[in-house]
Amino acid sequence: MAAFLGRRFVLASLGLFWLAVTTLPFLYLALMSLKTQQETYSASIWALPNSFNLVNYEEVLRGRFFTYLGNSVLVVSISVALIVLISSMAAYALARLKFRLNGPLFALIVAGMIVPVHVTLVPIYLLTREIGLYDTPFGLIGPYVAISLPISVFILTEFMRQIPKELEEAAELDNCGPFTKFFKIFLPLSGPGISTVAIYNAIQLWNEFIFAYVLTSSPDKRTLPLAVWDYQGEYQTNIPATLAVVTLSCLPLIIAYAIGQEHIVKGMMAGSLKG
Amino acid sequence: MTSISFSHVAKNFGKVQVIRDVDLDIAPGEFCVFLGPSGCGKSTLLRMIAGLEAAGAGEIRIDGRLINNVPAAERQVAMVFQNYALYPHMTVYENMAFGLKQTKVPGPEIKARVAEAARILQIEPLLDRMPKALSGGQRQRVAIGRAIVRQPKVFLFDEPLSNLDAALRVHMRSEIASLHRKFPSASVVYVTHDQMEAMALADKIVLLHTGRTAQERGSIAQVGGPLDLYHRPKNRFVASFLGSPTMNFLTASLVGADASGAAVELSGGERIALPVDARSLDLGARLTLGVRPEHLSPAADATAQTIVRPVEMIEHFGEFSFVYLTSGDGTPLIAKVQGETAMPADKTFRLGVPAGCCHLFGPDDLALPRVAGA
Repeated sequence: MAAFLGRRFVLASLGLFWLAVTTLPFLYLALMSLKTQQETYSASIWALPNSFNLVNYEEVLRGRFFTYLGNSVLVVSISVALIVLISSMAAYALARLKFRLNGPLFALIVAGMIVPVHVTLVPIYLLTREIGLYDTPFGLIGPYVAISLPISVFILTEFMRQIPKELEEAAELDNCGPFTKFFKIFLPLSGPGISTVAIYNAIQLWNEFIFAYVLTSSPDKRTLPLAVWDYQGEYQTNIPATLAVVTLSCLPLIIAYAIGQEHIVKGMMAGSLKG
Repeated sequence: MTSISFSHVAKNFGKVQVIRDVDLDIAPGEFCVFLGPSGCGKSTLLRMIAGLEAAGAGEIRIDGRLINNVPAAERQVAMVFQNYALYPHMTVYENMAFGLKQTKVPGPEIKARVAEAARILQIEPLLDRMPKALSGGQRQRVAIGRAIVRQPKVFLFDEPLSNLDAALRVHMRSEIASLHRKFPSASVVYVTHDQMEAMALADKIVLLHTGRTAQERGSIAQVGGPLDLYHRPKNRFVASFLGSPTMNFLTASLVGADASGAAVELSGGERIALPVDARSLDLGARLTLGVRPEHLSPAADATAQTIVRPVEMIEHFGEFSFVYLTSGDGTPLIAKVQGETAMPADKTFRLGVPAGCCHLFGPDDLALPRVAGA
């Protein structure tokens, strides 16, 4: 009994510790964003704000925040839609079709996960200029889809491999060609895997900084992660306003994760473990 | 009415030959059961008819039409899978209607066919449910319903009852039999490893070998009616596969053979006469006498041919008892005796061996032919 309680205690402590590690930074962020500029410099950085002060949010929302938000939503939603479509089709072929080089092709795609994006920055920058997409939100979509495909194909291939073979055979007897099989059987049955891929990539791309920084220059073409630049001048940085922007940028993700959390966990498990 | 024929069909998976030169005719409207131990290739044969597996060699015909290269969907066959293979994201109705929609059957007709199948299978209240909300037996019915609505020429069943519990299995078995009576024009090919199912359902049993050697793997051991296989096994494999407990095999040597029958001597010195033609063999040849446990009975009559063996153990089941005896040559000997049997005082049992129920297998394990009229 004592051992049991002891174990519960240890587990609970570990859980609370992890909760603190993950939430404290965000809490700090949110609280600091409520301070005035004055307060940030005068009081201790650990002090609570003197009053519930939304002045920073007012400033941020009066600025270009909604332009950035719009660009982010546009880029991320188109990218995620393309990622889901391409990776699920690729995953179906890799998981279910028998063709030569299936294995090597899968290995090659998955190997893409180990290519650091920074290595590709300069060629992609040059390429983007060349085809006239530099400094447009659409210039971001290509690289975003490309860097996300390896992990997405990997997750979905593992997921589709676990769909029973008999279902595919039943569909074959029901007069389904490869496309009908994909759209009517495999796509609906991969729902949890697809949500995982969609949410995971949405989070990654929502926070993506380096491509957005390199491939756009005018303020009205930039995405949310670059919004912080507006509050950082050469001689002065508006710290609470920066934190207010960051807080606002995080919110959509937190909401999305809260809604889709179950799918993400399930899909991740399906991707990594069998059964 | 649809016939199916195999001629010289063979199949390899890599280097393993799973089907070896199969010749087989299934008559129109026949209920044909592929029976055999696991790994004998029975499911592979079925999947070849369905078009889910390509024949490596030979020809498969449905109604005389060569179908080796015809896509699965165009063969007019419907299959019921072992694990049902219902689409988990569709309701029962959608599961049954899916194949018809894919083949562009008009909407009102789909509705009518699904309703009719649901009525026959008594699953009308389930039509709006998802498969995960159904019990095993209900899923099985839906899977059968999905096959019925397609109005196929051939029904294919791949071990459809093996995931059900024992009581339900017996019940569904009788339902499948009555289904066959409702659709007499469709041929049925049914795969099972359960000899009871095969005996109960089949017009024709195709018993396949796994074989002790690669030579025998995937070939047909015997084709015939259930009772044919039971009473007239062509070889020792068939004799041992059908029947439970399995047939007793006693070593014997040939001591007499003429046109009316043969006589053999067992290791205990008893002589057994039986109506088989052993004239092709030399006297003294080592043979195997086969007799089923249920045909050995306590001998009341001293004039009948009998064997006497020491009893090792008796198992009582109320309705019958299994008497385990020592056969003398090291092989087990079991008698299935009606009613209850007490252990005899001298711990030996005298068993009658009816001549007509004995089988004699030659050195090549093939059954010796019966004499005419026996």
